[in-house]
Amino acid sequence: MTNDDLLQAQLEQATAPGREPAYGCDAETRRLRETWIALGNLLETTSAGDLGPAQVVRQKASQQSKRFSSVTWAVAASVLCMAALAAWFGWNREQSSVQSAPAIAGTSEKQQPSNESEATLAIDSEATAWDDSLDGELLSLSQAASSLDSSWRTRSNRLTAVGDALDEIEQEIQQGTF
Amino acid sequence: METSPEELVETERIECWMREHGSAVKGYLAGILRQHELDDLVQEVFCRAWQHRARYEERGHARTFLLRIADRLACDRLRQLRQEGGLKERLCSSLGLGNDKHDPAHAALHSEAAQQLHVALARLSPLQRRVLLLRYFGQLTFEEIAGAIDCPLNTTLSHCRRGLEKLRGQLRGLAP
Repeated sequence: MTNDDLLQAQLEQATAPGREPAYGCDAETRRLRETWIALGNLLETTSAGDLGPAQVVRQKASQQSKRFSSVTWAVAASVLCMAALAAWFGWNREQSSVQSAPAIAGTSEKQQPSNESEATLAIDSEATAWDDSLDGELLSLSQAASSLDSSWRTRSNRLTAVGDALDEIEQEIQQGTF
Repeated sequence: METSPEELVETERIECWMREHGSAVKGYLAGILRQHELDDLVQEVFCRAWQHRARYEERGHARTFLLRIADRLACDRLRQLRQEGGLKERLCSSLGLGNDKHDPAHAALHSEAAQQLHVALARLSPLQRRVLLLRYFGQLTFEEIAGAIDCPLNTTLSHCRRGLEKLRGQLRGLAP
């Protein structure tokens, strides 16, 4: 056995995995082993938890939660858009009825007093008549909004489930039962 | 672009490696570079592992494969830090400024154990540090370590022994 072989055998014993002292070895190997164990203790103390499995899973969970929050924002934005559109349509309708009121007054002044009440009634009914095309438009818009909302909700529910599962895995890893 | 089933399997493997060997890779990098903000470098190790996964098929052990990549990246980073350090020193001396003692790397070493490790590892030469940390984190054989650091086996063994001897006085009292 050459000196190199002896040195290799000595170092393999001294730096073997684990924390067991080198019993039954020469004094030099025992000292090297003690130093190795001390180094291992220090490395373990300082690097433990730096990037263990928990942190990797936590990174993924944070990515998922980022996605989840963006979906939530998208849903909130779409609901706001729908509300704004509905308000705009409502306001438009109100405006058209307000504008038609002076027109009614102007027309009725020019008419004969005997026909005044009949004419006013006719124009009133015309102004307040429901516009079918607008109704259809509103209906299709509300259907689109509700389908969009339900699809967002489905997606956000799925993401919540994934987030919950990742949290469970993280807890199991922290408890060491994974 | 759709992900193929083979790629999915590969992705799962890399994720598994991150869970199993992530802390060892980070510990190794922290020991070599003596820094704690290393998340970008750890990610780079796993990115390279993904890019060169075909080579892993030939070599076998995942941790050995990852630590070899980590070792190369750490050496590159050390070289870069040395160049930046030299430049900073020249700049400071030309401007008449002292060295910055409040370096983030110094601030990161907040705990007593980290401080002690920092001092202990600072006493080692870069090669001694690489040999000891490859042995500790990767449990590589001395032949594998010799291959990783491009040194003959007997030189590698000498580095290991001298490194341990240097640490002996420094770490006395930490063994159980």
